Amino acid sequence: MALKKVLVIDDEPDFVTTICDRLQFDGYMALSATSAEEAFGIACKERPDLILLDIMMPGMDGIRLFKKFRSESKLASTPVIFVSVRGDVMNDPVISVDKHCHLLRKPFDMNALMHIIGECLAEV
Amino acid sequence: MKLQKITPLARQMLIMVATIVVAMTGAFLTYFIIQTRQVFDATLTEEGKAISNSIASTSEEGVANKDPLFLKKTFDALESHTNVVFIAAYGQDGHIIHTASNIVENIPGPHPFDIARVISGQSFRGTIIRVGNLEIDDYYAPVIPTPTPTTQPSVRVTPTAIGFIRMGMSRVKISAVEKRSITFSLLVAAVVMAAGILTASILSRRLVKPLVELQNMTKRISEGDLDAKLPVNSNDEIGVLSAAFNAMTQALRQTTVSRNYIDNILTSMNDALVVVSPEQAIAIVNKYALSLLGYDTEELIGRPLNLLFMEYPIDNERWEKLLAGETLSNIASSLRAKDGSSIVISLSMAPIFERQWRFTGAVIVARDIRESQRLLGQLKAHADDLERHREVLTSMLEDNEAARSLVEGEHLKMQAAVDSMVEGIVIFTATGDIALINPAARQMLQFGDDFKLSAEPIATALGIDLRTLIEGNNGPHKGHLLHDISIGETSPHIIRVEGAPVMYRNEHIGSILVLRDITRERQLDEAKHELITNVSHELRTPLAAIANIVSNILVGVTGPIGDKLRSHLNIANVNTKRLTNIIDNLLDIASLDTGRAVINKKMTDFSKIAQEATTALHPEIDQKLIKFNLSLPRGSLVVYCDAMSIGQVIRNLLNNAVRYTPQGGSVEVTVEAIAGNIQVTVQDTGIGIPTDEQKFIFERFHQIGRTYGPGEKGLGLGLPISRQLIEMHGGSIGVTSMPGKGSRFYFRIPYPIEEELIVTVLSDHLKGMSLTGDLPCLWLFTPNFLAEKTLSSFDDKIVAAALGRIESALHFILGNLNYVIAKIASKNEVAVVVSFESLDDLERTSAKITAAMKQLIFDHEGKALAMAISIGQLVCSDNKAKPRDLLDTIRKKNSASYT
Repeated sequence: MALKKVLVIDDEPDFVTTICDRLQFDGYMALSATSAEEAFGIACKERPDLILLDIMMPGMDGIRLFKKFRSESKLASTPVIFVSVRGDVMNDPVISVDKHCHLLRKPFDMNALMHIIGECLAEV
Repeated sequence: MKLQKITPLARQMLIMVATIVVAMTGAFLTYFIIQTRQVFDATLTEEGKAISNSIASTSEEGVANKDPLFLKKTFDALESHTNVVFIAAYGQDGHIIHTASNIVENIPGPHPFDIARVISGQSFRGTIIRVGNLEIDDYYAPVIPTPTPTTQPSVRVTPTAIGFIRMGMSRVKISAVEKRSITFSLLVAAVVMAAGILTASILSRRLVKPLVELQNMTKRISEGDLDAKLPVNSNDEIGVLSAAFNAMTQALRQTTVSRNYIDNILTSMNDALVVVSPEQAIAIVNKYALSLLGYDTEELIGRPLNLLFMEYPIDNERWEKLLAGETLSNIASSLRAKDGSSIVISLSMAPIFERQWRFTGAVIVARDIRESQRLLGQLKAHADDLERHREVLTSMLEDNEAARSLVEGEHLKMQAAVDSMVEGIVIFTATGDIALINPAARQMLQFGDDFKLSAEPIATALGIDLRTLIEGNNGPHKGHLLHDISIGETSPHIIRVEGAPVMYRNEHIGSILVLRDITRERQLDEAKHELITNVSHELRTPLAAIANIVSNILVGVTGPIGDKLRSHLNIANVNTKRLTNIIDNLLDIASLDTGRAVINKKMTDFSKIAQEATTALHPEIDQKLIKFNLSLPRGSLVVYCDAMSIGQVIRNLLNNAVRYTPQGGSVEVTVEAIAGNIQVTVQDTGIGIPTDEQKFIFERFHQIGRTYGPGEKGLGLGLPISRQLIEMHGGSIGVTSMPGKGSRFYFRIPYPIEEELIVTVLSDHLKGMSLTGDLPCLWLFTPNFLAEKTLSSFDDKIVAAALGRIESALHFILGNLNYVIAKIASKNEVAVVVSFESLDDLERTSAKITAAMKQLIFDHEGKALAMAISIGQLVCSDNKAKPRDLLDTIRKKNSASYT
């Protein structure tokens, strides 16, 4: 069975590193991007099984990036987990009705994150 | 003519006048008759004489010749004359020559005197001859021969009669005439008399009338009626008399009035009055004197005055003074009553003079001063009191004055205080007028200097409905209000308006508004919020990093770790979690405090929220080997709520449950829909909460006394925040706990569905309108099935399916928008509430909806049924509108268009 690909998008490198380490440890293939443009390119190319998306990023923010993902047919139903300090992302009308997205507020418990990732991938 | 009684005088006058009239008429009558007779007689005589003369002249020849035949001829010719009774011709000697009638024989012959007379040439009438009843005038006419012309004309020839004619004319005519004239005259006389009497009667009455009046008036006066007055109609003697009479009665009246008046005075006087004669004897004594002294009039009249006095005060000196014309007054003395008792009086005396020189006595007035003396004594006794009272009153007045100026001063001070307040004060009366507005308020309202203060514009500027203020205690908010409003276009200020009713003795007399310019505070708020947001991010990010790294290490990402390292790292882990918690709570509270915490209600999958909230705690649950169960209702549960807040609350409650439940315990989370609410229960088998602390746990900074595990205290903010979030949903939160056994935390939030949901959503949208500037729009869809049959002929299942079809079509169209759809099965409606940012967006969506609804077909049992759908649309522009009213409005429109 191929490893599940998880794309981590966050402008903070430290955060990305930490998450990716754990992902790998848990047996996922970790992909990362530190900007929206970079992320979009990788996402289209690699077609990850799950995307971890930070919202507050310079340039295009996470929400717009998400909508961009969703406009891509390949990524239309890819599970997305928003990770952010902000909790109001769910207020966005598009996001609130999207069946394949979740929110985990930073700071979160790493184990909890892994748990959610596991469940999301299991659903698919 | 009124038939009045003819008064005696009138009768007299009448008789008098009548007599005169009659007499005069009679005299006249007589005169007339006599005259007429005479004239007639004379005429007749003349006629007779003429006739006789004529006969005489024609008989000349006969007489001269003494020819009876000639005379007969002549006389026959004259027989026609009716009155002629006989004609006889006589000779000079008086012997008859001829006669036509035989009467002559019966009559006496001519008297020699007459013969002589006639022969001398006179023509005359003789004495009347009576033959039986007939009266005959006897005429004698001389027959004188015609003188032959003589040669000597100057010689007067005296003709001598050669004979005479005697003619008798009947006096019948004259008698008839006499009779006629008498009759006529009598008639005339009668008429004249009647008229005369009539006139006399009238005149007499008229003349007499004033006299009769006078008589009547006099009678009345004599009977005592002094008001009798005569009309003065003419300037004649009667008039003068009437006037004089009136004057007299007037004088009499006045005298009587005066006299009566004086009598009344004397009788009703409250003082004793005695008139004495020059001999000092009592002449008149009034009623009061009599009753005061106890005497009767008869007992005193004529008695000496000194009888009435204990000690006679009128000594010679005084009497002399009176005689000299002086008045004595205020003489103190004592009267002696009949029974001998003494009456203290004060008397005055004045002399009475007739025609200014003759002393006819004195009038004495005595006043009973016993009472006065007594009162005087009392008055004197009270004088001191009064003086004292006066002093007290004066000082009271001074105090009053002082108090008044004090109050005024205070009032002015208060006025000054109000005027110098930084806060604006506006006071409305109960009738909705402005009672007071201080300078600060004026400034905040930003009206120009020339603005005329009136209630309406001020209320509008402050965003207040005047009616609310007027209703005061009767209004929905009991006259209290609180809101912020932006005033001013160029430099807007945020003004906080707080209003309360003014009650005075249980009566609502007005409303007072306090205005505070919170622009600066708001700015500070903004700054704070900015700070918080930034701090939040800045604090959280590093914390997250640390937590993640520690977690990674513990998990083994960096490689295997020893127990000691593990335990150390565990401590680090725990502490970072604590820090996170604390920061979260602090920031939450700060967020809530600034009023920024806005809950954003949407149609949310409640089960999903619950699941996600619990997922985050799985690790900890697993670690503590706690038995966990989440029970959710069957099917999907879509609730209108703020997902984040609800999630946070569930997490908080679960966190507490896990924290305070020892190893191996159990935690159960139940979500259920009961009675129009969603209820979430978190039940644990933990240590519970002491009973006396149970009511405080939802208050800020309260920490449950004991701890469990190292450093588990936290800030004690989790539950208060949860409570606030639940209350912002209009729900409630609570706990029941048994110390040592466990705790049961629960919260409920309203779960409106169908029409209630639409009303709630619309209400929220309307409230939020002013902040967001969005346009809420309400749609109502009703299927009519016009294509087939009417709606009522279909059963419920079909209707439900149709409504479902409409709903899914709408989901598809509205897709990205923030909308709420609700089926109102009871009314066969589907309702939608959406807020649009712009009118363009609204119209575009509206067009899409209308187009879609036209083509809607739905399947039922293989049949495609076309639906005619009534679409009602209402754009809400008035944020004070009531949602139910809006629904009703649309319904009415819909039903109208349907029929």
